[in-house]
Amino acid sequence: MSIETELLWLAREHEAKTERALAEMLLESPDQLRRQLRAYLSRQVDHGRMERTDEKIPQLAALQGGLNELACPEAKFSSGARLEFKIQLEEQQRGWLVKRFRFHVYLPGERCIDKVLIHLKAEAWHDPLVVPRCHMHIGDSQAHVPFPIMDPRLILHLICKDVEPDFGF
Amino acid sequence: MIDFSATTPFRLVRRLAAAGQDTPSVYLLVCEAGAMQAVRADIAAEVQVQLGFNLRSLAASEVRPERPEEAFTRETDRPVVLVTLDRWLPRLVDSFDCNIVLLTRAGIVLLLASHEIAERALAAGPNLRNRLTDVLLIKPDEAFGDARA
Repeated sequence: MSIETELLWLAREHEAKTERALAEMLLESPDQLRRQLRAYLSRQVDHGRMERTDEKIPQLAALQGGLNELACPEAKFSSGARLEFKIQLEEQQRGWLVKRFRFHVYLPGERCIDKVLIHLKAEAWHDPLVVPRCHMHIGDSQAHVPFPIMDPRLILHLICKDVEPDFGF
Repeated sequence: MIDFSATTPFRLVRRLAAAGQDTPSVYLLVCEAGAMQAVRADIAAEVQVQLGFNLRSLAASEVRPERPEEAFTRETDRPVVLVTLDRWLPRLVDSFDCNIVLLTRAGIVLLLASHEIAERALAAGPNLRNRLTDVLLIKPDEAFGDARA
């Protein structure tokens, strides 16, 4: 097996693990997740890490194809950083599964990294070695850095605890 | 009709969380009769998410006026009690008024009523009125424009 073939095989194995992790990450309901994310954001406001958020955020909407979407058009950190996210959920017999998401963190101008983008694509890409389904972009880099599958609440926590306060100094 | 401060289940439970679950409080929540079910469901969901407890929810008819302690005995795993005053029960309001200390010791007590019943309860229960932490006009999340699945 050539090195290239072996790397592609390893990347596909990694994608298979991603798919399994997604299939196992059952959520109770989009409305429950909406309330949990809203409560978490309001806790950040209480701790002075974020400016007051609109209590209608995240907004929940039903999309075509039976998908539900939770959207946070903008939440501002006290540092001046901004957060936007969208999470699409799909109902299955066992519960709700995360189908796609994007978390965008725009860091303040004085940082040497301007943004961190975390994406879960709706479908696996044909070449997971180039574009893993769940990946992160740092700054303007076109590199798709593999990102582990985790509950959206954990991603939000990671952003608030580590990415926003620590990246780009 | 008296004007009360407006709130939502989210903001109400945020307030309870900030005060701490050990802070006894009795709230009279006033809402449109048609919105009661949605408000009750929202409060239950917010108590679960923000405080981590299941809400103890009772209809007025489930509370025996002669045995209020059955409803208001403090439960450590369910410290928030919601009583929906879905109809005018003067004996029950009288019981709340006479046993107001019991209510204030029960933890967090939420009384949910329509405008009409809230005003009658406030008029009929002077002790209750005096010991209320607040009277709030409450609307379900939908009323504030949330899209729902």
